[in-house]
Amino acid sequence: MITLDAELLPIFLGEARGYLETLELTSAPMEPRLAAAVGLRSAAELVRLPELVAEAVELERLLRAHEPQLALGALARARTRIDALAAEHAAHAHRIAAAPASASAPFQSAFDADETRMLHELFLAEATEHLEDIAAAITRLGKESGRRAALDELLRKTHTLKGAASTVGFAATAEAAHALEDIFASLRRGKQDASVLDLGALDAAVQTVRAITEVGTQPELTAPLAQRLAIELGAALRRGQVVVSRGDVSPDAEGPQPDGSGTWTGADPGEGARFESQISWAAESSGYARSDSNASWTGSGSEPRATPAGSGEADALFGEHDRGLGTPRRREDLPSLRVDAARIDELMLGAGELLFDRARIERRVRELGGLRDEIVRLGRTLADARAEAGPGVEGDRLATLDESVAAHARELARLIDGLGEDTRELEQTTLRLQDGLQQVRMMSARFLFARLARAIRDVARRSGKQVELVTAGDDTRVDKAVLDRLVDPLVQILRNAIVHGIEAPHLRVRMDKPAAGRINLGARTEGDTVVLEVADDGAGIDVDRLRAALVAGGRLTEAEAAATEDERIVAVIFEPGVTVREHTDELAGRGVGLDVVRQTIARLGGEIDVTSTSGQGTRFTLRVPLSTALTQAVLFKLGGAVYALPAANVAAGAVLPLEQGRLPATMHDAGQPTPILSLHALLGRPAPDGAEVNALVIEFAGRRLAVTCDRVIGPREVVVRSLGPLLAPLALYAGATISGAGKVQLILDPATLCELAHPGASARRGSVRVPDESGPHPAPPALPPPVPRPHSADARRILVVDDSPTVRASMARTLTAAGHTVDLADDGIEASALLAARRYDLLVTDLEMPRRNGWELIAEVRARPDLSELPVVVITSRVDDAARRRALDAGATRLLLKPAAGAAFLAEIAGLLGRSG
Amino acid sequence: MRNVIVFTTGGTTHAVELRWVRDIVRLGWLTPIPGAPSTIAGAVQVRGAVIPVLGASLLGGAVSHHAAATPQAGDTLLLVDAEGTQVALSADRIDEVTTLEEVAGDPTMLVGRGGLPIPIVDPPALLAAATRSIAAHVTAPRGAVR
Repeated sequence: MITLDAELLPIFLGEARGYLETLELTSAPMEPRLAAAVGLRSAAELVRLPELVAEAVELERLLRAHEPQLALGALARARTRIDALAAEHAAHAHRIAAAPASASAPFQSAFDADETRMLHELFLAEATEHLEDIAAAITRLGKESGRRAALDELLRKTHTLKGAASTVGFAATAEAAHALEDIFASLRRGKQDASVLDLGALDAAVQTVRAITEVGTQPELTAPLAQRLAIELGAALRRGQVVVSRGDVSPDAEGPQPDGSGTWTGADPGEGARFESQISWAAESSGYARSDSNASWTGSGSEPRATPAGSGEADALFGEHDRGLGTPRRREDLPSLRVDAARIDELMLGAGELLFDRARIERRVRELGGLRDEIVRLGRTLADARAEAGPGVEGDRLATLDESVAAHARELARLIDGLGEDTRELEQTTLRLQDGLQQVRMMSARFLFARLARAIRDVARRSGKQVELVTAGDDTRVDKAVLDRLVDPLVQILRNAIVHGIEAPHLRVRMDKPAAGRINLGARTEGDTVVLEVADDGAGIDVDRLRAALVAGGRLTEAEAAATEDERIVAVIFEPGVTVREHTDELAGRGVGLDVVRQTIARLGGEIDVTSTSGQGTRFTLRVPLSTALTQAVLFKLGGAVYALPAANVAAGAVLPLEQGRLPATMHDAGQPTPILSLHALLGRPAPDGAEVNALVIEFAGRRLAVTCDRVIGPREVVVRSLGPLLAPLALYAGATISGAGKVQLILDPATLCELAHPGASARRGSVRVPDESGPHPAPPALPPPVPRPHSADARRILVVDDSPTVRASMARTLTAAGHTVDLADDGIEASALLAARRYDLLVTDLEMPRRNGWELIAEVRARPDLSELPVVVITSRVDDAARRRALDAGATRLLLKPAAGAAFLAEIAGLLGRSG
Repeated sequence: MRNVIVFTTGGTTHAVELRWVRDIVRLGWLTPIPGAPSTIAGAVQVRGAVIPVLGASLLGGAVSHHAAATPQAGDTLLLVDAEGTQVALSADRIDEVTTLEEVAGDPTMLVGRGGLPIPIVDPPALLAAATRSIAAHVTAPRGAVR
């Protein structure tokens, strides 16, 4: 039984296999093979596998003793152990995937659902960036000059991606990144000739890694993609399939496994014949057929009949990356551009932000109007004074003044009119831009249906039901952003329909129903709304049982239940915690319930209804907007309410010290004094108590400020709603968004906050009122900037340095949850600055980082007398001995393997802090 | 004769003509809007749109003290459309939908059951008052800003 951290194991396995690969090259020089044996031993020590450690020690001894034959024996034993571990891990991983989320990997249990979601979002954003950089660097491989630099970057990027992926539990992405890294490593070592690479196939492989990342953590979804990646990588190396999945292909993947033993077969060009046969197998069994040398895959497909013949362009837009879905349109018919869907989304987000800008400008125009009115009033006062003064020097002077004021008022009025026109023009342009982008993003419902068809097939097979899918309105065009967000809710509804709705075949036959259940999936547009219907011909919802459950749960009395119409009883299934199931089962009990489905739909500004007839089936009707203006916002809690800030303006999170309940007036942020604004005071909430308060650092138009809050929830993609004409003059707000529960959440305007914190930076009339009874803060400006808090035994300050935002966020969560105060730095340079500014009890650092790497940072720390005793923990996924030795030589106290998250990690940290304190 | 909804809020009875009323919904969650004048009780979401809820103080006249209390979840909201702008009025209860006569000589009052006069809510005037109160609030002297 594996007692290892499930997150750690795949990384270890990947790295161990790398060592075996080196060790098995009997013709290779001794030095790298010895290093590999040492590496294997260290890695096995880190993950506490004593038997493997023993094998590695023996291997090392035999190699040193020049006993190649005996060494091969030890090698075979090590290989067997590692394969056994891999097989156990694959079975374990499958159990994790099949179990409800709560029973998932240790990583999940360490974070609440919000935090996990935030980490996933962070990771997805980071992965996208890495993959883009990787794709860009691949194009540079084609040129002899700069190939080495490109390879270095590729190695670094794939390595970082692997570390981040394993940290957040994206095992398939970690595996895929590792496969890429292996290829780049062999190119870098000169084992593979870069000039014969098929860069097109390599690029396709990177896109597949992206697809693997997008489908996330479910092995049944990632396994087929991993298989495609193997084929693409093989094509890239021009030598057949590279085994990427390493034996942990989900048992649910269809057809025979290409290599059930899970051995690494991609390294030796001598096995060409075997690769060829694997390619042809893969082509047959997964519906891919190789069409040209650029490794683009098309297929006739063996999808259910709902699967459409689609266009290549829309396929790309869908982000599905499933080239098995359709046949390519003839290129000469339609001149078209393949645009990455993420690019369009980016543009869309940008256009969404224009909405904020427009609202802001409109408000300023209104303020200018007020100013003009005041000037006109001033003019009248002047005219009165002139009349009083009568003729004479004083009168003449006043007359001149009056005329000049009147002229300025006229000029101002002219400007305001012009500005008003410009704003209306801007509004029109913004709307046209959004419409245009939405049109580009529109895609057929058939792509949604094809995705759902796969889910239906999968659930039906696993639940032993027969299901026939009938679709209608496949050509209904809907915004991709909306379609993407409908997948999860619809999959959940379909799961329920198959598992709880549709009866087993033998029962159906007994009821004179066809053995195969039928699911109708329809889409149509009604004005600005798309209506999606999911209807099954199963058992329907048992209203009486639901009634009984509501009475039993104390939600209704017997009399109320009896008096409530069936429709209203059925609608209760959307409320949290309602179930008529006696037991949760693997298939429908997993993940989200119908309450979450309704929340998702509500967040899109839509509605969901259900009707059901006992014995005849259930019909869900979803109404959602055809398209939606989405933008990124950072949500935070303050005084029991949730507020949002446009994510583009949120630079960082911070923790501010409070001294006797008072906020300092400024904080030091990246070396700059940054004003602090108490949102508690601004929003009329009681001042926070305790020793410190959370804050967000806002950046707007080059100026920064920190605003207080109770708790940062994290970044979210939100639909921006206007506050309407009545509330628009409230400058504090840029708009609102609707929470999943249907609550209005206000979006604060960073421009206004910035002006409040930097008064005088731009002259502005008072348009925001701060309650006069604002409590003990904002503090008088005389208060000095915060000084480092005195050390106490339990609250320790830890500096975490890593170039991966995912790893940083994950560590921050873990360490903060354990009661430590954590500061974060992107690289060695930032870390040095922080180390100079305040005292830390512990430094946790990565090794591979841009600008100043971990080794350099450690050397610098050790060179400083005041930091010579600082415990330094190196967290790395590099297990090669040279790198480790260099880190220890530089002065690292401890080396830990990524991902560092669990209790063992915290115990290490606690041990080191104890030692230093 | 006017077709009206008669409702009670804060212990006072009002009538609003049916032609203004777009919908009657139950208040799920009221989001307070810090920095808004007391004429705005908060904002609610109705079918994806953000709708301001007007404070009872705007209804003017004989408003009792507890009328100033914030609307609660479960309260009834009257969605009124005043010249294209939707606002919500909170009601403790809807009394009836009926046809009432004006009080002779006073078009702002109707004759209710038992001859009691009921003030008519005029949504455009209400909206104008709310708009004015917000404008006055945000253009308050600079001294109010810290």
